[in-house]
Amino acid sequence: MPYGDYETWKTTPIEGEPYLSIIIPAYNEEERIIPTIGAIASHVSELGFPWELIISDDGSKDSTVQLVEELGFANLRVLKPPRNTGKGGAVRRGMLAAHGKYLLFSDADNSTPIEEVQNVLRKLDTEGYDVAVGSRAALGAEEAHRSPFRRFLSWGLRWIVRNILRTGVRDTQCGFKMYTREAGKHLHTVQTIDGFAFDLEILYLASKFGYRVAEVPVTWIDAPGSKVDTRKEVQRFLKSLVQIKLNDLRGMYDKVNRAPGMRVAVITPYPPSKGTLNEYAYHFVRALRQKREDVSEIIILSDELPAGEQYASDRGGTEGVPLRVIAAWRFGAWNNALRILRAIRKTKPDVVLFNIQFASFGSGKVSAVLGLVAPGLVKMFGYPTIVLLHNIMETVDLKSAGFAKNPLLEAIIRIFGNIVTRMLLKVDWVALTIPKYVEILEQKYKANNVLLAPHGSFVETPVPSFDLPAGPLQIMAFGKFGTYKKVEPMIEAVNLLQSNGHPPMEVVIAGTDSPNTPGYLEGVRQQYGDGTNLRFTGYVAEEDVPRIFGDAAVVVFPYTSTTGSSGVLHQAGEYGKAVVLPKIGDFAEVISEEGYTGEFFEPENVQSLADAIGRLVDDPNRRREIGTQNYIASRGLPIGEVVDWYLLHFQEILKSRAKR
Amino acid sequence: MAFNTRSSEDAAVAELDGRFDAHIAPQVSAWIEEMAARAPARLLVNLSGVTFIDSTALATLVQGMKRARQQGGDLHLCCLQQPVRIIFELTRLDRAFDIYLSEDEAVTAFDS
Repeated sequence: MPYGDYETWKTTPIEGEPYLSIIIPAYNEEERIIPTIGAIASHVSELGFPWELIISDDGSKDSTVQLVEELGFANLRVLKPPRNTGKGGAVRRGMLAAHGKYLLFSDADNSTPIEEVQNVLRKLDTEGYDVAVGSRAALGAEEAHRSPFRRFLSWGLRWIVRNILRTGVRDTQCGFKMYTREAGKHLHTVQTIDGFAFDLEILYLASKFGYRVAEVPVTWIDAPGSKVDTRKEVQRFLKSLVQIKLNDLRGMYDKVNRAPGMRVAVITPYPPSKGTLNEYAYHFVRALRQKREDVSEIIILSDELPAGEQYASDRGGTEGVPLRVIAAWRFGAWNNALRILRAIRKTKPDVVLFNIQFASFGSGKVSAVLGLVAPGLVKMFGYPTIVLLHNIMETVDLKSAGFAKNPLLEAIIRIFGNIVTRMLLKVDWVALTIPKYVEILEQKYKANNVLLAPHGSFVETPVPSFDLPAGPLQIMAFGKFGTYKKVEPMIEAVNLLQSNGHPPMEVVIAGTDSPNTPGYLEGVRQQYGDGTNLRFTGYVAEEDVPRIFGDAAVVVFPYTSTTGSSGVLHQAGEYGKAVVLPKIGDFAEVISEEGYTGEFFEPENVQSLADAIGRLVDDPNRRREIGTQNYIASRGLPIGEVVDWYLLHFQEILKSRAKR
Repeated sequence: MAFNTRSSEDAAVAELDGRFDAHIAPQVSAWIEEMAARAPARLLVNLSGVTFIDSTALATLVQGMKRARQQGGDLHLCCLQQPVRIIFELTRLDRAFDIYLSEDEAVTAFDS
């Protein structure tokens, strides 16, 4: 039943790769976008293949993004750039983020009715073309409501295009174009024009690179309210024509075309290193390795491992693009910035990404600060650099995090924090995972190179079963403990509940000491004993993570402060777990903005924590309810799509450098 | 785009075909204005031939419904194709309008 097809598409995420991705560039389209989405969703859902819809917003100032997001469709994504770039930029972002075998962009006003999609798709999947463009000039095309003036103008422009750019396509501007994935990604990566004339450049490039282009007659309705100012459009069009010719004469397209993919260096702790953010790095790199069209090699500069351990590298193949892991710095050393720079200069990557937080390079203040000089230094030596900063100084509770024992010291560290933040802001982009962080850096430091990059979810887990193993209910905390993650209140809270007749429970401490507090967990073990209802798992290897989370009835976040978005919360969500969270500003924001929920407790208050755990232990339905909501929230944005954002920004940096 | 109208004792009926958008909306609006002035204002818009409806057309129908109700009558819709029905759902206008599967049902409903 067709309506059922639409319902299924709307509510059930497709599995595997979409056959078709439809990209709609949108700028201030609050009035027109919903009917267009409705028409497309209705029609394409009936065609019987998996497909995705991408609304590539272009910095709309109206409620376009909000309206589309409120639809909550399972297979619809909204891309939100930091600023307005022009239609060409919006289409490019959409194309690069799309996963389909075939990629179509279609205008937001539905001026070429979506019913034309099969005609265009046929050229690609049956007749073997690489690009199929809807055409108002091809034989059989129908143009409704087009003024004689605009028809004359079109004719004139077509004549110029044919004779100057020598592309065989007669209608370059129709907003209905489809590509094979390879052609679409290639052409839109090389594209330099972000304005309306980007179509012209794409078709010029398609012809230059030898792609087979078909022109397909389509119906086209000149929608009233079109945002095109004809006079300006013609001026820009002619200017772009000259620019395209000049670009080609300067060899700019050849230069970009010759680079099949970027060589990306990532500075991060990486498993088996146990440094903070190693888990995030693992998942990020796993997703990055799948970007074969954009990346040719990944070089990880991780920290030195204990004697006898070694990093594994991989020459590529089924796992993805080749990966090299180099031990290039040492946690706690003072010369990490120089060592990292040396490693970068030796490996010569095209782009550099730092996956760090304030204590990544050392637990001591000096080593931590000196390590953070590295990103600025690398940028100074000419490497395009992005820093993914997992926390910012302004929101870290230094005392709880174990960095400042008295107010004077805290004030001094904050001054250094400001200096370090300013140094970090010297790189091309600083990516942050929480909107509030972006706001703080923009306001306090007047930074215009900060961007919001969501944390992303790590694994495509199946819908959780909610079944628990036999035996006591496992109350689990996961992470690196000792600084702001303190397990004592949790152990005491569970003991309190046990003495009040709640179901049997076992406390599971999954993880290791924080590098800043060696010996912490051993101290806890001695204090409370490793009894029947308390278990320490030690370091949790990647393959054991699903079991540890799967077996837990409740995941507790025994934090006294937070230093950023929580990877553990995302993981708990992926496994459909009910969570107990501290009432701390950051966390509350992460939860509300990302759709997570849980039971809350006052940090370090044993009674409050016991009450929160008790509410979940006593009520399986409540656990399931919260677990389901967290599961849905965690599916928000797979890390593969977050990785696309970074690649896009790197490509834009490289492109703007190539123009210079 | 085709736009035909007819009147009977039971209702004034507009039938549209193709794409209902800003190009045809002024004609529909004028028809509504004229028909709403007659008592009782029983307006029926048959959308059986419509494949796409844009926001201007939706706004025209909303205005039309308000106008008809001001005159003590109503404006009913009928025979929506799937894409149009989905657009009404997404804009939540399916809750605002009385929508019927057939012309007969829509006309009968004026008396209920």
